[in-house]
Amino acid sequence: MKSTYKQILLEIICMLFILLFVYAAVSKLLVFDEFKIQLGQSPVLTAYAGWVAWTVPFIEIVFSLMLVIPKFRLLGLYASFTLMVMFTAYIVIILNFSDHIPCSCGGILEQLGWTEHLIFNMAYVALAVIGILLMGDQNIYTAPKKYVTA
Amino acid sequence: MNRKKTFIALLICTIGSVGLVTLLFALSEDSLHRDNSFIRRFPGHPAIKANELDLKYNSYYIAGAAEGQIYLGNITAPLQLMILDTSLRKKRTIRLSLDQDTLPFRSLQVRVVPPYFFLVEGVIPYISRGNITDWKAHSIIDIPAYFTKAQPIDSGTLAIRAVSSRTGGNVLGKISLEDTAKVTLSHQLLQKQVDGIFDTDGVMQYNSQLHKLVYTYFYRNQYIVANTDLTLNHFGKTIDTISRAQVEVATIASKNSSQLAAPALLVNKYSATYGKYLFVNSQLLGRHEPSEVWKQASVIDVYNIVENTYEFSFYVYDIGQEKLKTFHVLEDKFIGMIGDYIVTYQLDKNRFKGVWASPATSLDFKITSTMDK
Repeated sequence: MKSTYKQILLEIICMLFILLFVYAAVSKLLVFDEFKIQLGQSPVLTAYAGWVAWTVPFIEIVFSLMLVIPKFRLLGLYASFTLMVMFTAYIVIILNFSDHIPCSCGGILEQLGWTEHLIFNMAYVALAVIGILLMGDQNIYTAPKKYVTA
Repeated sequence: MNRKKTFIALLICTIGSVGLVTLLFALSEDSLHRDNSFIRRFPGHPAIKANELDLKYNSYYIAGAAEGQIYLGNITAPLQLMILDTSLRKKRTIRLSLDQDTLPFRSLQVRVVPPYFFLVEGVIPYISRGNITDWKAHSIIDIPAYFTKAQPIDSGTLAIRAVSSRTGGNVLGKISLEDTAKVTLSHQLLQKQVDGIFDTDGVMQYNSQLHKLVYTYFYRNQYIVANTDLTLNHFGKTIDTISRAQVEVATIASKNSSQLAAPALLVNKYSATYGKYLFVNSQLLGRHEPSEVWKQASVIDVYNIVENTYEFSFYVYDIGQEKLKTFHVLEDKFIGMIGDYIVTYQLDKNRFKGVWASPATSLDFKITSTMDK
């Protein structure tokens, strides 16, 4: 059935997000003091490095949990979408409007160049949009009575 | 339809998140550039662009300038030296030769002070000296101290900046090369405000007309004028109001290293000195200055280090997207490195009164060790 494929696709998208967020959060927390310094060197976040350093890994974990729990999955996808757009906007600002370019992403993502990073992020933004649309199509959790097939 | 609602929701999320990040950036920028409670003077045209030359690479640095010649070292080819005349028309390249060929150089730098030239490398540490007639460098053995900066004072002495084993902070000193290399340090010149390393960072220059060592701090509104025996002549102030270095240092225990925790507020990016004058590239916008000009130019503040006064300022314009990086002053020429280019600005002789004509000995210091607070 068509909707099964969509269901599988949706699961894959959610898993990709969970993988990304958990990985990113853990790799930040493992080298937390270093991460905090890198954030402080960022021209966009200098003034807020203290609380942003705690908030980012925290919300990454919270969003992963939301994607796991069916009831919060749609909200989780919206949240993930918003977060990825913020990261993307951050990269664009850093690349275009800032004198010096620091890096504050953990683990293997640190190896990416800024352009690759941008593409990577935009792919994730697209994934979130697809996920949200799939959930809207199925409406399985938000409005089960109005079931529609596309 | 449901789809429509979804897209509206996505749009709101997009606008909200982009807006939030932009707002954070704007506020962060604002807090960094707020200080402008000082006023610069821009009288007429104290310096007018004379020449520019495309060197094709941005790896050149000014190794020295004297007697109408500019000497350019090259970071990527440490033994190559380019010699230009001050009109930037005559160009020749020289290869320096060393008396030893296998040394693990990391950042070998050339300093030319005719009739001598030096090759310096602080990490090894290594110094060699030669004559500019044959460009052959002879290594000086047993350099007893590591150093992070070196400027020749005369044929047998180099001013250095090193890390003190006593305080753990930066310290100025000198290496005498006669007979055996001997190091003298002076702990009274650089003054610790935060950690003694980052906050005391700056540019070290030697003024061979006044025979003074001039050190301009990066992160505070101060420069130091010292005598060649490393005693203090006086502390001078740059025009801005940043008297305390705004440097935050963080230590990573696991790596046993420390680094800047936040972008430090850079006050003075680079400086050069010639005759009575100190030329400082400041990073702080003064009152009534249009910020648009700063997007396409660098400001040079001129100080008189004999009278201890601020004279006036002028602009050095960017080439393409590149800003002025380092510079040097030779008589009535301001020489700047901008991206791949070298530029010269002609200094107005009426504004810079008789600096280059008068012999060094007639420039007596009027200030005797005045201390600013």
